[in-house]
Parts: sequence; C-alpha cells; structure tokens
Amino acid sequence: MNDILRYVIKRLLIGILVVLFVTVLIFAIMQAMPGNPVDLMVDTRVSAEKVAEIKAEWGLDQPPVIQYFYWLGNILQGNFGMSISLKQNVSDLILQRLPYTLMLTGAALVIEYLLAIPLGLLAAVKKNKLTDKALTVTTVVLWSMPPFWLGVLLMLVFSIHLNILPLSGYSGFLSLILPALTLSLPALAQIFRLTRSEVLDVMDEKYVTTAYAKGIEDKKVLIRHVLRNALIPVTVMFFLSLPWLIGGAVVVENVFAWPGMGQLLWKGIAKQDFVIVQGIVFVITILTVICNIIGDMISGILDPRIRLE
Amino acid sequence: MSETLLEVKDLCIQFETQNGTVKAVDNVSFDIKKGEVFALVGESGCGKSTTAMGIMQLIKSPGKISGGAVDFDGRDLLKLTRQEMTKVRGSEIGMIFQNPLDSLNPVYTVGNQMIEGLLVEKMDKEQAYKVAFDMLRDVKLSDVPARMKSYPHEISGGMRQRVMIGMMLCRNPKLLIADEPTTALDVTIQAGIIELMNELRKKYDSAILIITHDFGIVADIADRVGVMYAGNLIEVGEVFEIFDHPKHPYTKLLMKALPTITKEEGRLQTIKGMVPNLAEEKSGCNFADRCPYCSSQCREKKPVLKEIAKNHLCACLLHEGGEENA
Repeated sequence: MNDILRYVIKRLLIGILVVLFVTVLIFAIMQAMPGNPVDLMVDTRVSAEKVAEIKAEWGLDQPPVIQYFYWLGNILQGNFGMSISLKQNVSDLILQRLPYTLMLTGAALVIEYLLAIPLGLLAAVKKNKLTDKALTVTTVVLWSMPPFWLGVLLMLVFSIHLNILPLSGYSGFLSLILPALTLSLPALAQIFRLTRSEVLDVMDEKYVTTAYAKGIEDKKVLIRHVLRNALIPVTVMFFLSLPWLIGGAVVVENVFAWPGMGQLLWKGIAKQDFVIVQGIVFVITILTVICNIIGDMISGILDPRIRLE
Repeated sequence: MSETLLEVKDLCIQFETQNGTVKAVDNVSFDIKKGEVFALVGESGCGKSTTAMGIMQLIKSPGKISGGAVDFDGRDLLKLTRQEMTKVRGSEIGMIFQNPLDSLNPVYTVGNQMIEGLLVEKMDKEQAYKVAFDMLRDVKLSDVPARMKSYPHEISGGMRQRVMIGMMLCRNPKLLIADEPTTALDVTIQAGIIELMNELRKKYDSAILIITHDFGIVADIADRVGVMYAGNLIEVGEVFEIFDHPKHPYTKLLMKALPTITKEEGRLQTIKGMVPNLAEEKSGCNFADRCPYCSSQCREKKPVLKEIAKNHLCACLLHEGGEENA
C-alpha cells in the first residue's frame, strides 16, 4: 500500500510539471497569435490613448513573462481571472459549464464502450466471417465521418424529419442523446478494433488452450480467460481517452449549442480571450494528468505483472 | 497393463493453407494401454504435437480432423459433441504443454487456477482448496500456502511446470498427455520433472502419452515408443526393442545421430536431405528421398504399418512380408 502511495505522489509531482509546461506553452501560443483582445473589443474610432488605457487596466501593457507569472500566481490561489470579452469571472464560467461537458463526455464514453466491447468480441469470435467484415466496415465508415457533419445529419433525421429528439441546447436527458451519439460513434472504431485485436491475440495464448484442456466450458473460457486479459488495455484506454473526448466535445458542443466548456473555449479562441482559453486548457490538462494516473493504477491492479514504482 | 485405454485409428489431420492442403497427420494409428507410458518421438513438424491436440480436439483453425477415430475408454471421442468433449477434457484426459512460462494465466494466482478445474466437478470451494493444496505438495513444491497465492510470474519455469502437472493430475485423469513437457526447461530441472511424472503415474495410475524429441526422456520414462516422420507413424515398439533393434531406416539413422559418451566418434552423424513438403501430393514413402536403402518400388508404393516381430510394427517396404534384408 505504501508503494502505491509513493507511486501516486511521484506521478502527481511529474503531473504538476506537465501542467506548468502546458500553461507556458499555451501562454506562448496565445501571445504569438496576431492581434489582441482589446483590439477586437473596441471600435476603430477609439483613440490610441484610450486603447492603451484599457490595456493597462487589464495588465496587457506588461511584458509577457510578467503577465504569465501574474496569471500563474492568481490561478494557484484559485483565481482564474476575469474574462476580457465576457467581463465575468472565469472560474465561475468554468464551474457553470464543466458539469455539462462531463455529462456529455461521460455519456459518450459509456455509449462508446458499451457498444465497442461486445461488438469487438463478436467480431473476434466470428473472425473473417460476414459479421466481422460488416462490423469492421461500419465502424470505419463512422470513423471517417467528421463529427460536425454527423451531428447535423443526426439533427436532420431525428429532430427535423422524425421530430422525436430536441434539436439543440440542453433541456433534460433527451437532449443529451444526439450530442452523445455524435461524439461517441466516430470514436467507436478505435475501441472496437482494439477489443477485436486484443481478443484475437489472447485467444492464441497458451493459457487459453490450458483452460480448454482443463475442461472449462467455452463461455467461461471466453469470459474468465480471454476477456479478462484482453480488456486490460481497453480499460486503460478508457481513462486515457476521457480528456481526448473533451477535446472532441469542442466541435460537438458548438454544433448542438451544448452549454459546456467546449463552447466556451471556442468563444474564447474566437475573441482571443486568453484568460478563458488558459483557464480551460489548465482544467483539461489537470483532468488529463489525473486520468493518466488513474489509468496506470488500474492497469497495475488488473495485471499483477505490472508493478507500480 | 493389458487393457487398451486409448486407440487412435487412422487419424488424419489436415491444414488448409494457401499452398494447398497439408496432411500434418496422415493415417496415424496406435494404442495406449491402461497405466502405460507411450512416447511419440520425431523431429519438429512431424505431426506429433498435432496428433496430441487431435486427441484433445483442440486443433485450431485452419486445421481440422479429416478422418479416423479416437477410441477412448469405450467410445469414439471424435463422435462426441462439443459439450461432451469439454467434460472429457481435464477429468479423463489432462494435458500439459511445452512452455510452462505461458501455459498459466498471468492474472490469476496458482491456487485460483488449480481450483478452477476442480470446481467443474461440483466440488465446494474448501474441498477444492484442500485437493489443490495436497496436489501441490505431491508435485513437491516448497511452501505450498505461499505458492497457492503466487502469480505465475512469481515462480520459476520448473515450478510452473510442476503446477501444470498438478493442475492436470488433480482430477485424476486416466490419461495425461505431456507435449514436450521439459523442452523449455534446464537439463537439471528436466530430470526432476521426469522423475516426478514417473512417481505420480504410479500413485495416480494414469497412462501417459509423452511427446518429445529427446531420446533420453524416452529411455527414462516410456514403456513403448512410436516414431513419427512427416505425418506418418513409421515404427512402434517396446522402448528397448526400438533402441536396440530399430528396423525402419529413419529410426536407425536417428539412433546413429544420438550423441554417446562411450564411443569416440568425432562429428555427430546427421540425416542428409530435407523433410518433404507435406503440401505436395506424392506417391510412395515420405522418407524415400533421404533413405539410403531406397528402391524404385519405394517411390511408387506407400508402406503401411505392419507387425514385423512380436509387438514391433514398422512401415517400410524393406520389411514387407517380415523378411529382414536391411
């Protein structure tokens, strides 16, 4: 138990370094972008003096390094700063929207894995038969669909023609279905392929033959020996893909006017409101680091050969 | 020792490949009596392991059993349904494999995997634990309580093979198939495993089908030997009969190729030529191309296994009719 604690602390320390590095990077990128938020905010008729005054008010006249440390100092105290374009506290904005994004990505992940794992298993068992080929083609087709296009397509079919699901925005559980599907269906192919190839690999393992030789029934061999081993990398992938899905949610949230963090990030980028962008990237980075640590710990628990150190 | 336990009759196993149908096992017939140790020997790829997998019906696609019969304890295993065969495996026929390093599931403890097989018998968990515990003591593992909780990667290769033997013997099968049980182990460990198998076969009264290419092991443990070459069983006899009076040219050459420490021979003898491609359909004896006694007749007529002396069978045209001219 002590080993695990030491491991987690070590990983968290490395994680902090990662987060710091990402903040520097995102700050540099925002600085390197042409234009600045004040120019986008004010009219061209406003005098240069006035613009300089507004910039000074937001601290934008300082050198970037000073600005960075000023921002970092604040964020370590939990103060994400004021959004320049929305004139609102960024921590409030994020806290308002984070639950919606987590709801959407959580639902998408559940749909994705609940479909991909059984289908991957089915395809592996029916290797090279029609079922396998049909499933492979279907998932590749879904994989090739851009989410914004798939989203619009689903809206057209289910909201406009069939009129059974809400078109956009958040209005309870039903409105979650289309955005979650749009987010999960293209991602499905990856987990489907992973499950299929892992199951096939494990089925060739000697210990599966041993299980059959012991007289264990087919179904039990498949669940206890094949799936138990094949799902180790799939489970780890589950945790690794959570932040990845939040990234994907940026587009989907915009298509469906979903009141989540992705939409906010989009607005922040469009208005060059680096306070918003930095705040959200900061949160996503922390989520990524935590998910990575959880993923590694889960693999250590599922596979006794992996020692966490 | 006289009652027949297993009778393999004209077993054919073939693999459909892109280069044609490979007859990995071609009309192989032999029998094993109760409590007997029968060794199948031959070089890599001659079909000895495939024969064993065929008996267990664990041949993987694209391989399939294309003919013959496997009579075991009064019924033909090839005629059983999948479920019936599952019941035979483990309880009546156990099998251990070449590489103990990956024959055990890495995510379950030794105890867990031992008990899993026992629970098929509708035993309760405590009882199963006790049987598994005693069995591990029988296969001479030290510190059994700790070993029950060990994962396979935490114990050595020799110990894992002992666990495998224990796992397969704990349900007291009538036949244990051992597919090259010592090939992946150190020589010193090999001797221990063979000794253990010899000891346990007496205690549990199991017959053993051992597959090996090591004549040292054959001499140590086997009662009778079958020699395989290119999918055919070419000679069967009692172990010392085969060692002292091999009849088939291939067996003779094989014996000459064995290193001995009593004779000064310089270089080891080898058998010239290559194993034939089994995907090609050809007439005559499979060994013809490499045989020093090959005649024109050998390339036309395929020899079949015939009794040439008491309890000694050989598939060679030189011995057709029983005369010994080679």
